[in-house]
Amino acid sequence: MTVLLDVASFLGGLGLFFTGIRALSANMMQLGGRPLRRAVAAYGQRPAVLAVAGTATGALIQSSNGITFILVSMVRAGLLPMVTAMPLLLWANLGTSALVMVASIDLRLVTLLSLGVAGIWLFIDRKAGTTRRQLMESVLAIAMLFLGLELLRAGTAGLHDGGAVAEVLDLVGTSAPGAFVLGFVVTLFTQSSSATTIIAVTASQTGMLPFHGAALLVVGASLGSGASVVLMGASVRGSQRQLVLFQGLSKLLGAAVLVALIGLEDVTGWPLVLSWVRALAAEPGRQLAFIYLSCQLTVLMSSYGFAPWVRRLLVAVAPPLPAERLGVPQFIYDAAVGDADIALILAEKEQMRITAALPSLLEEADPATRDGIERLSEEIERFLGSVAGSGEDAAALPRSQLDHLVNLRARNEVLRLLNDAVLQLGLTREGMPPGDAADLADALTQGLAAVLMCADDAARDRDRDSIEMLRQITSDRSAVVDGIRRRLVKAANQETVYRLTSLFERAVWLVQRYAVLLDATKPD
Amino acid sequence: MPNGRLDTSAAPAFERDMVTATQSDSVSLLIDLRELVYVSSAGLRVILMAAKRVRAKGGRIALCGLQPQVAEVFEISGFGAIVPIHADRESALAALR
Repeated sequence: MTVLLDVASFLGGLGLFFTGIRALSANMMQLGGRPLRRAVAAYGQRPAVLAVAGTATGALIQSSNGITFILVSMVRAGLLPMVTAMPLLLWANLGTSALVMVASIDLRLVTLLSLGVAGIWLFIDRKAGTTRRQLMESVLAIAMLFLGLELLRAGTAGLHDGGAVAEVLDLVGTSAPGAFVLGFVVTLFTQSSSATTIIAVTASQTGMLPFHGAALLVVGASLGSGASVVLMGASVRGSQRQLVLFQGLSKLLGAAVLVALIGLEDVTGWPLVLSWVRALAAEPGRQLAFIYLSCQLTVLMSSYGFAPWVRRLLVAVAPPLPAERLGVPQFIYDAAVGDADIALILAEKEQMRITAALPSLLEEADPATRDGIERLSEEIERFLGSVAGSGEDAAALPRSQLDHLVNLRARNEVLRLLNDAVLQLGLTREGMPPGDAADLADALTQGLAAVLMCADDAARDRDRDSIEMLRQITSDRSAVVDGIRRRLVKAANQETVYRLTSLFERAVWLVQRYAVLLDATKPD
Repeated sequence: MPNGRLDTSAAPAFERDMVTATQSDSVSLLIDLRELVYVSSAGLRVILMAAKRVRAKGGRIALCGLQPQVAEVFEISGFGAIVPIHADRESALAALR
């Protein structure tokens, strides 16, 4: 009966622990996501800010896997460049050490008090979705996590007396490769090296897990965390894949360095890792927490040390996708802002990359391409804004340059609107079943794509004929569109026909606006 | 005279034909499209480029024999405003003379 109670305590503790750590991550992602994005957007260029933001995020969210995929989604949305995401991720790994360090301390009193306060608070405060409630839910999650650890500790201590479990743990603790593999495999399932380490810390505190093996279990867990990110991110491509592989590679580098150091220490007796940890803390659980911390520090330092080679390797293995390349300026650069003549030529060349991309967006309605175009037009707008500078700077520009600048900004706005209309038209067409309306959609697509190609030609040639032709083919199309609507008035999907024709009319009108703007700045 | 589908894969060969046809100094060009059942944006663009070259040389261009689905694409794209479209070869030739 006692053994059964110990097993139940062990399993119940594991259940509470996993529920708590998952709830904590979910709550903290909601609470911390927006402030993190704001901080990174505002101060993302400063290394110290990245270090603090990354460590704090890791400490709060407690899942380097979770953080990796938050960053992947931010890179995908264009909110974060890769050069910022990589160091953030490295520092977040270090931040996950916080919970492991806290778990190595006896917190029974604080745990029970937090559980009481948070539970009663949530019972009384029923207003869902408030920040205050989310904070209390996080406190409850932390309390559940630590209560789970207490139950786990009690169950493990009970099983210790049974003999068989103690023998298994002793075997793991004295077999370095076995411990390493166990840490790796368990983390593939838990997807959290800090969770695996905290369980190992609990087992160490009961005196069942010898230190040497436990240390390698923690290193194995760190590598397992990297492997689970790579497995979970197998479907992502381009820069996002680079980030996923970066996390896996960082963990691999860190584990390789630490295993080599521990091996060298074993053979030579030089105080490299384990001796220092023993000197820092006497208590076994605390020692393991320090091993985890050293592991994350090694990941951080080795990844910074090998950063240039790692970046080159990642670009070769997972090159950016065409849509991502589209979003990166190829002509404009900050230093060119000072020479308005050159700056305007460069901005115009950059805009031509948008006009060249629009027909392909219509043929294949890929939201990633639309996002790439949107990012590029934002960069162009930011660049033109810098050329204009303050009101006084703009007034200092010669009249012709000022007109050209205003014209380019207007063109940029037209292209942004066109980008949206073209994607919407492409998406509407893709979802249509075969029939008259689908044939019409194809005709509209081919017609508009040809118009967009002519707009691109006119932007490049800038001669009177090309611009005049563009104006002619984009003249008022309401009679044609009305005719189509009348012909298909009895079609099954009238809503779609109306939407398609409206989007088409809008796109053609925008191209006409573009032609007028081109005409206003054509060479004499 | 293009036939079948004038799409991305057929457009380069058609473009070569158009370049050859518009090489002389003064040119009037009639493109008979009665065998054409489909025209894509790439095909439309080749025709527009040909029209531009012919106009630059002071020549004239016309299309004839368009099937309804092809005529609809020309109408939608607005290319009918650049290149005159005739019902048959005879009326197109008469317009070019």
